[in-house]
Amino acid sequence: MQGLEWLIAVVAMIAVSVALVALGIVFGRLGILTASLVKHWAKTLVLLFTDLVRFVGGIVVGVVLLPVSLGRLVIMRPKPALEALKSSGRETLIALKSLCSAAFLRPMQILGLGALATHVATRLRIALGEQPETRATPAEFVGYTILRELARGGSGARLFVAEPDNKTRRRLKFPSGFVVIKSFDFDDGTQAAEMLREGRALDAARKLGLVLDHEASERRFHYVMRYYEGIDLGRFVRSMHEAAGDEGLDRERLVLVGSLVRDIVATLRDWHDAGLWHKDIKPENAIVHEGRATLVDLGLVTPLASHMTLTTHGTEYFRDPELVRQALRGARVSEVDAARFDLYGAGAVLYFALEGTFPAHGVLSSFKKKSPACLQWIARRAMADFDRRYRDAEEMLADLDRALLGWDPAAVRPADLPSMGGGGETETQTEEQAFLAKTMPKEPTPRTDVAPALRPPDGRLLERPRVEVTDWWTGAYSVVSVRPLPPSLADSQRRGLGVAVAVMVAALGALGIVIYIWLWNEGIVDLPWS
Amino acid sequence: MGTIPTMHQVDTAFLRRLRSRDEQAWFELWEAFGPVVRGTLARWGNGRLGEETLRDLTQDTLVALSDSIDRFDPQRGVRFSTWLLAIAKHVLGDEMDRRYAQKRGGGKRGASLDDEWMGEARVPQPDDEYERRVMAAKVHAAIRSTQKRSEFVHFEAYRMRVLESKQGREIGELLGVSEPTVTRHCQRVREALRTELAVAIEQWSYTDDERSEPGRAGLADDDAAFDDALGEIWRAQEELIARDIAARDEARRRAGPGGGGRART
Repeated sequence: MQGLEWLIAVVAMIAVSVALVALGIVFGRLGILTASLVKHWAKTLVLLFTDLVRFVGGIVVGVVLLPVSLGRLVIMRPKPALEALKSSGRETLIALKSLCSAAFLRPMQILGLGALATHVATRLRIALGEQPETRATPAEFVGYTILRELARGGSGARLFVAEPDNKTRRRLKFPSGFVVIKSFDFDDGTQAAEMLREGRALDAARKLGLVLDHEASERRFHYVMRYYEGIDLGRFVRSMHEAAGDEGLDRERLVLVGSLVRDIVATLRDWHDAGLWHKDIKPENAIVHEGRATLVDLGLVTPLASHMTLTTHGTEYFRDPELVRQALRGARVSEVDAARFDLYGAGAVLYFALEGTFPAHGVLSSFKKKSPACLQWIARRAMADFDRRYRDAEEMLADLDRALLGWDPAAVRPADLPSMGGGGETETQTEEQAFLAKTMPKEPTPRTDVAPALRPPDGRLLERPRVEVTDWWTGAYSVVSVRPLPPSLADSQRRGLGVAVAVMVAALGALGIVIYIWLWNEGIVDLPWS
Repeated sequence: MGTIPTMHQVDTAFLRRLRSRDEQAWFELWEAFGPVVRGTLARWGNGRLGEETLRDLTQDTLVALSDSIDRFDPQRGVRFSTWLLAIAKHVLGDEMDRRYAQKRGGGKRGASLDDEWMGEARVPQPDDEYERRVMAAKVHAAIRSTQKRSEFVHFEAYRMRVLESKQGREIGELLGVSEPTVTRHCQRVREALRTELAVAIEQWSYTDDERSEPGRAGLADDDAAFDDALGEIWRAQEELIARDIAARDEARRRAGPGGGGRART
């Protein structure tokens, strides 16, 4: 073959490959779309069938009640007769509404006009003299479908995993995923003090952008947050230690659990910067999801500037003894550097991650299993006496980064940690962090939209700031880092058919041109302008 | 080589703080001996006492201690450990009476804390393990106190030397300092430990026999023996508490789902 033919063959192969990949993506997406549509249709058909059953039932009961009413009138009992007549009317109305729904609303929903159908239904209810549904019944939340209930937390609140409907998703700008609804209801036994505390926590969580939605009424209030389907760090770490045996975790697992603790400390740094104190750091309050640890349970979150007296709430072995001491002294939150109490908890969690058990003796707890000296050092430093521990989460974070950066914490000595003034890489790291600080939004942002990262996530990501192009047409990019990403990222991550179809069309076009050139080269066709 | 100084003024001062309901003093007492009381009650309960009951009884012991502190006379020659044990036993006995009364259909018998059990007549006989635990609790309190007072790096150097049996050179390498510096760090911490140990022993000892316990345990000897003895007590105390915790976790597991985690308080 001649040079031009080779070129044509190579270009043709590339174009075919790209077209095939794009075709695969398109079919895959179409498959997902079809499955969603089928699911939607099936759901709507079930509702249609329910409407029809309700219609038939309503008509039957309405008709049966008519002779009952007549009979009562005959035996001179006008009041019960009227009641039966009213009931008959109500049943007939239900039957008519069901018929209306089956004949009009459901077909609209099948056609994908659900929002319009809901609007019509609401207007119809108003037209029929009914009040539109403004307050949900217990364990029902307008705009959400409850999927299951979780075990109650320490605050006594009810926790529901729910799926927002399309309208709510658009309102919340929450395109995918599930939510968790934390509901406090006096009728469910919630105490006023708990409500008050949670109200404070809600304010704090809103400040951090963690709350997607909230609503309060006379007897109940609830708030909505993103739901992370995962297991808690406690279970995760225990299972790793069970698998590893008495020898302790191997290097890969150590880096992984270290990175998870780092996620917690990074979150604490942002919370503390926002003037908030979590107050209940423990493995069970971190959810491991796609290789990242997310801090949950806002039940005890308190503003660092609060003038309230310290309380001893918290969890045994993860609660700083100094907190108890200060609480007994009657100190106010604003009088102490309460953020450091969280650091104790973070140190205890790191100890737990390395040992698989909690630090029964606080900072004096020994390490029985084999683990890197630098990680042991960090755990102890965080749990040290109040005045001797890390000044803030940033300092602890810098040490953790140094320990995890090289993927081999055993090779890092305590002397190499930045808090010890060690490590030649400190300057480089500072540059990297400065770059991150410059490119990432400064204000605390919610962790709700953190992009899934490869495991172990953080140490590697911090080696060099990684840039991810978000729009190839405009050249827009964002820096992928361990820092919480802005909420807008989730929208940009939405997947559609557009790009895949465009790539496929372009590839097919390129293929067409190549074939045409080949045909021209073979003398089968002429150039259009020749 | 060092000796434990006698500091009778310390114990009376601490008693005074307890009597004046100084929260800090009570917290110190609880921090040091709470685990001992809980462990002892658990051993006496022989698995029959649930986690909640144990916690309640431990707190009841503290309350009883608080009630009787005004009447306690350290001059009677009762060991601190015996006094503490007597109160815990009294609380447990009261709980048993209450349970029997409930079985019989009666109400709770009113608890009476007379001074009788401070005398020799009804003194419960503490076993060796209990005495070891109390002694270890005092040493542990001293270690805690030293840790608070010492520079973090100094204390860690000492810990590596005593608990992890690391050589000075190895510690120096880890901390980025020379071997003589490590030795100086360790010496500082050791001196602080001796002082704190003397305070802790005096604070919670009311008989000469109790005061001489550290000497018998090797804590009054030369530096090497002191380190060995301290390391041994430190490790033993950790093991005792680890055993208690394992037993508690086992009890929680037996109690069924939801009992495995540590509850928020």
